[in-house]
This record gives sequence, C-alpha cells and structure tokens, in this order.
Amino acid sequence: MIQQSATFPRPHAADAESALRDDVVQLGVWMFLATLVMLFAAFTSAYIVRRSASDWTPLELPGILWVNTVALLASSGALERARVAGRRGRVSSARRGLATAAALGLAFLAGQLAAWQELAARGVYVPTNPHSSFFYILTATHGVHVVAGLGLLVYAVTRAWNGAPLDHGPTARLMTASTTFWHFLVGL
Amino acid sequence: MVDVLVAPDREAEVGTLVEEHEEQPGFVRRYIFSTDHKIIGIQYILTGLFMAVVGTLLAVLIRLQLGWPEQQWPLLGRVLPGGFTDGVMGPEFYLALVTMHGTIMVFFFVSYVLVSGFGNYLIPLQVGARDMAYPFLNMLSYWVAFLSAGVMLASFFVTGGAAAAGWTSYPPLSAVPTAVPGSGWGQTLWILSMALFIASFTMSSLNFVATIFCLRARGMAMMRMSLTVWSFFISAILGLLAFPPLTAAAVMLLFDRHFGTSFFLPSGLVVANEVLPHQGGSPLLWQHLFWFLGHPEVYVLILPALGIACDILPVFTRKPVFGYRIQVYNLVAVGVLSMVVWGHHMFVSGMSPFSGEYFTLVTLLITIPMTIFGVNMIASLWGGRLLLATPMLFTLGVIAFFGTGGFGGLFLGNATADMQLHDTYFVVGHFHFMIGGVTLLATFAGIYFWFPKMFGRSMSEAWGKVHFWLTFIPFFIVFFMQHFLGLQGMPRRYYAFTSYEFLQTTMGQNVVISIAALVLMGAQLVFLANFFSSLARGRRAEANPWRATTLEWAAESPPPHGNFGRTLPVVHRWPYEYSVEGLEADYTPQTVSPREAPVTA
Repeated sequence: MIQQSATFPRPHAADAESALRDDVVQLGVWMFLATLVMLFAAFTSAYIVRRSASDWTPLELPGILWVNTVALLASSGALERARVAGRRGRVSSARRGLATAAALGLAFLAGQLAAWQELAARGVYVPTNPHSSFFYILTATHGVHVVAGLGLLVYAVTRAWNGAPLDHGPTARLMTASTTFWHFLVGL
Repeated sequence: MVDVLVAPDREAEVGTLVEEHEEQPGFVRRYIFSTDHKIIGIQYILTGLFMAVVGTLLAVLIRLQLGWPEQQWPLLGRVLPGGFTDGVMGPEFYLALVTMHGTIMVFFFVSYVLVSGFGNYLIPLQVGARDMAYPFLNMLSYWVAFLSAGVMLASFFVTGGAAAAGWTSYPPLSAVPTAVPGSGWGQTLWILSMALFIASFTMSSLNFVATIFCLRARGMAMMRMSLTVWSFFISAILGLLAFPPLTAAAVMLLFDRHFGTSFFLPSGLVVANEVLPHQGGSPLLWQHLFWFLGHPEVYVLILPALGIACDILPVFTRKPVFGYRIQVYNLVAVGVLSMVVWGHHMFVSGMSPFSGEYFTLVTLLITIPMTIFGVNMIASLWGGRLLLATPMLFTLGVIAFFGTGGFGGLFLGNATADMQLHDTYFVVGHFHFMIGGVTLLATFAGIYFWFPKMFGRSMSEAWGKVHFWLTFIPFFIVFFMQHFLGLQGMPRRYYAFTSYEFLQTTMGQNVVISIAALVLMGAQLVFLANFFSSLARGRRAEANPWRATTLEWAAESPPPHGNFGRTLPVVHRWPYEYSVEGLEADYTPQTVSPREAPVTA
C-alpha cells in the first residue's frame, strides 16, 4: 500500500492543498446539512403528531407563498449557472448570476414577510391555532437560515466584484459551499 | 486506497502550516482565543472540571436532605438564604438541586471534559494532523460552550431560582412559567443554555468527523486508528444526528412558555386554581423529542469512555487489545442501534404494548455489542503482565462499573420489569454507574494517563492511588445500594419521601449512602490538590513515559504548536503492537518502519 504511493504522480503542491481544502469544506457543508435535515425532521414529525389532535384547523395560506417559492427556485437556478460559469472562467456571467441569485433571495424574504403581514391582518397570530403556530415557527426557522445563506451570497458577490478568481481558491470554494447550502434551503 | 491517494497531497499542507505556526501569537491569541486544538482541549477540560465542582456541591446538598431529611443547617441557611427557610431546605430548592445537578454533570462536566476536552486534544495528535479541520470553528465552539455554561450558572441567580423540572424538563411543568418558582426565568435560561450547548457541540462534532476523515497522516488507514479515535468518530456522528431535534423541541417549548402556543400543553390544565387557555398539545411529544437526543447522548458520552479504556489497557498489560476489529464493529453497531431505542425511557407513558415490545427488543439487541465490548475488555487482561499504575486502576474500575451497571440495564430495558422500577432509585443507581461512573473513572484514567503529554509533568502516583480507592469504594457503595432502595420502591426526586410509611425503613440505608457520598466527594479534593500541585511541581515527563505506541507519544511533551515538528509522522502499523515475538522492546510505536520490526496488523 505505502510503496504504491511513491509511484503515484505527485500533483502540484498548491493544487493539492487547495483540493484538500475543497474536500474539507464540502464535507463540512454536507454534515451541517445532515444536522439541518434532522432539525427539520423533528419539526415535521411534531407537525404530523400534532395534526392528529382534535383542535387542528387547517389554515388558508396566503397566495403570495407560491410567488415566493418560484422566486427562490429561480434564485437557485441563477446561482447554479453562476457556479458553473465561475468554474469555466466566464467571470462576468458568474458575477451577474451571483447578483441575480442574491436579489431573488432578498425578494423571497420580502415575500415571506408580506405573507406574515397578510396573516396578521386576518387576525392569525402565532398562538391562534396549532397550524398557524407551526407555520410561523417553520417559516421563521427557514428564514433564519435563508438570511445566513444570503449573508454568504453577499460576501461571495463582493469578493467576485473585487476580482477574486472564481475558478479556484477560497471564493470558488465559498461559491460551491453556498450553492449547496442554497439548493438545500430551496428544497426545504 | 483512498488514503494512499490523499497521502502525497499532504506534503503541501505541511509546508504552509509550519510557516503559519512559526509566527508567535501573543498571550491572548495563544491561550485565550486560541485556535490550537490542544489549548482548546485543555480549556474544555478546565471548564468542565469547574462545572464538576459546582455539580458536586449540589450533590452534597441533595445527600444532606436525603440522609437527614428536614434537618436544620443554620450555617447553610445563612449562606443560601433563598433555598433554606430557618436553616431547613425548601422543597422547591431541592427540585432545583436535582435538576441542575443532572444537567451540569451530563452536559457540562462529562460532555466537556471527556468528549470535547479529550476529543479536541487527542484526535489530531492520534491521527497525525497538525490541528483540527476547522480551527476557527473550534475556537467558536469553545466560546459558545463557555457562554452556555455561564447562562446555566446564571440561572441560579434569577428570581425563582434555577430550573426545577428535572434534567429532562418534561412539560407541562417546564412549559408553564407559573407552575413552580423554578419554572420562571430559571427554566427559560435552561432552554437557552441547552440551545447554545447544542450549537457548540454541533461545531465540535463537525470538526471531529472532518478531521478524522480528511486529515489522517500518511498510512493511517481507518483500521489503524486507535479505539479512542474510533469512539470519538462514532460519538460525533451521533451528536450531529441526534442533537438537532432537541433544538426544535426547545424552540417549541420556548414558544409554549412565552408566546401562548400549545405544542406540548394539553387542554384543561389547571394551575393555581385557574384553567390555562392552552389546548390540544401533547406533553408526550416532548418526551419523544427529548429522548431522541437523550438516549444517543448517553452513548455519545460512554463510547469515548470505553474507547479511552481500550487504549489504556494494552499499555499496562503490555499486550494488544483483544479483538480490535470486533471492537470497532461493536462501536458502529451501538451507534446505529442507539438511534432507535429512545422509547425505553417511556415504557410507562401509556405507549401501545407493540411499541413497548419493539423498544424492549431493540434495547436488548444493543446489549449484545455492548456485552461483547465488555468481555473483550476483560479478555484484554487475560495473560497480560498487569502494571497497576493509577490510569490502569481507574481503567479496571471502568470495566467493573460497566459490568455492574450494565447488569441493571437488562432489567430496565425490559418493559415488564421497567414498569415496576421506573422512576425509582434503581434507575438512579443504574445510570450513575454507567453515564456517571464509567465516564467519571474513564475521565480520571485519561487525565492521569495523558497529563504528562498535556503539561510535560507527571501526577503523583501515590496520591493517585489514594484517590482511586477513595473514589471507587464509596462510589460502589452509594450506587449499588441505591439499586436496592429502588427495589424497595423508593421513588426518585421526592423531597419528603419520609412521609410514606413504607419508606421509613430506608432511613438507615440513606444515612449510610449519604456518608459514603460525602467521603466520595471529599476524596475529589485529593485529586484537585494532586492536579494543581503537579501542574506546578510535578516530575518532568519525557515524550513517551508509559512506553506506548500511538502517535501522540511520538510528539514532544507537551507538543509544540503544529504538533509534530517539520514533517508529519508516517504510520506503518496498527496502534497495539505490544510484545511482538522476537523483538527486544515490548512495544513498537506506529511510526516504526516495517524494515525495523515486523508488522502484525
């Protein structure tokens, strides 16, 4: 086993270090997502259990939520395009994609707030009924993570605009990591 | 194969990291806001020991009440006017004591010292890395943990006192702020502190897994890792998957308490002669979410204890640990099974008999890998040349407690027997042997064993032995006797248990237990004195004072920043190469090349 490694072509040192960092960051993101899956699984199982109680009254959800969903999906698509463009060295296209993704993410958050306002205007608050409690808590928990994701995106946007290389190195890693994270949030 | 592919890449990293470590950071960056895994590990250990002192003082008060119920303690009344009226301990204060003792010992002592402390210190050293995979995250994790401990301690000083709903914080008691004094701000702080604890533990666990996966030294295949590292690996994965559900539960509990929701609060609850507006919630839901964390948590704590024991045994028997591969498979099997047995804490919750049957079955299944693990530890002693140094004494204690406590677990894991024993002192005795005793003795074994590596000095052997016997014997008396209290029907957490006639006969036993417990707690002063005086004046330790084989002993004592000098070690063999036939030395470190000594595994 060990002898074999001596004959293995030795990659350029800096590339190798960067590749190792890539792996470490990517692994970290995936593990973090695993913990988030468990977090939301707990909420979901609580939701299922609670729904079977006698006082459960389904809530009529605001229509704007559909618009929000589309915005977040589009944001995810734009970010994916930006990541691929960045890896291929098409800088301006990558920058545009990043900015679009961040803007659509902001639009999503605004839309969610609008949905909350609409519910509140109808007199539906957190404690009104169990469905509304779950709706507010789930959207809030998701929203907190979207804010964190947006933070990453904005950071990536500023780095991209300041001319950091997008096909390798820390910013590329950041983009890959935030893309994975963002897709996950959209999936939720 | 993966190792071999990654290995050559590592050279590059060596270069840059050495440069980084050559610049000397100032005092604050070096010892307080340090990103060095060794400093962080020691910070965790010291914080955990401090919390242990607090938890022990609470236990003293608990035992005073149980040994001499409602006795007047004028001096204590003056020191703690909130908890004592006219020198007599109040029942609310007693409940807060029980709650905080459990919380602090489980989450802030054992988790910090054994898992985060030793994990941070040992993982990079034992896998041959310069630091953790995410050093900054590691520092953040410590400071969040520190904050979490601070918030928990602060709850003693708020109106109404600390949380009093038990370390499991079952609603409705924990969800209704007006229920008992401790359900007020104390409970809110408890929830916040737990959320911080989980966040910090998640960061540590990410680091543990990523470091073990990505940063192993050349030649360090997974099946060449020490059992300590394996146990940290499994327990970190468990932590990542099992802890987040409690965060969700904590958020919902917080909303029930402060924002009028009814996740856990049922209809028609009457508190202080008033019907609460809540309806439809399910207190059982909390129990499920709590134990989905709580049960894996006990394995998160006990697996590293067993891993450490397996690493210390070969050093003091001078022979390999028995059944290394089987031990690894056992750890994996226990890890998987631990996620599906949580319901055995809830046999009396009115669950369907079929669920009870299922949870009994999987709980008894998990005893199989655990028993094999224990038997392998005993087999590791077979035919060895036992050297009874302090770390070895504590390790033998681990085996003894593991066997005794595990035997009680067989009764509790079975729904039929558990119906009788639930919430009695049988349970208290059982979990103190396992999550209390096994982890406590392994913590001491680890401290005596790795102290020379951590601080470059040795602890006193003579005082270590005194400490061992004064810990082992009283501990056994206290918790073995508690099993029999449980069989006599004595319920846990009762303040005024003497009001029941059938428990009058237990008074004498409780006095004996209290005296033994006070001896046990007093004996820890011997340890603290030994620890701190050895820090200052202990005998200088060489790099490998125990003549052990694992990688950390290849570094200096204490290891410098970056751990291993200019080049990382290369691993050629498994970690338990002791007494190989035909060799003069009775141990061969992992770094010795196959040309110098044959590789047996």
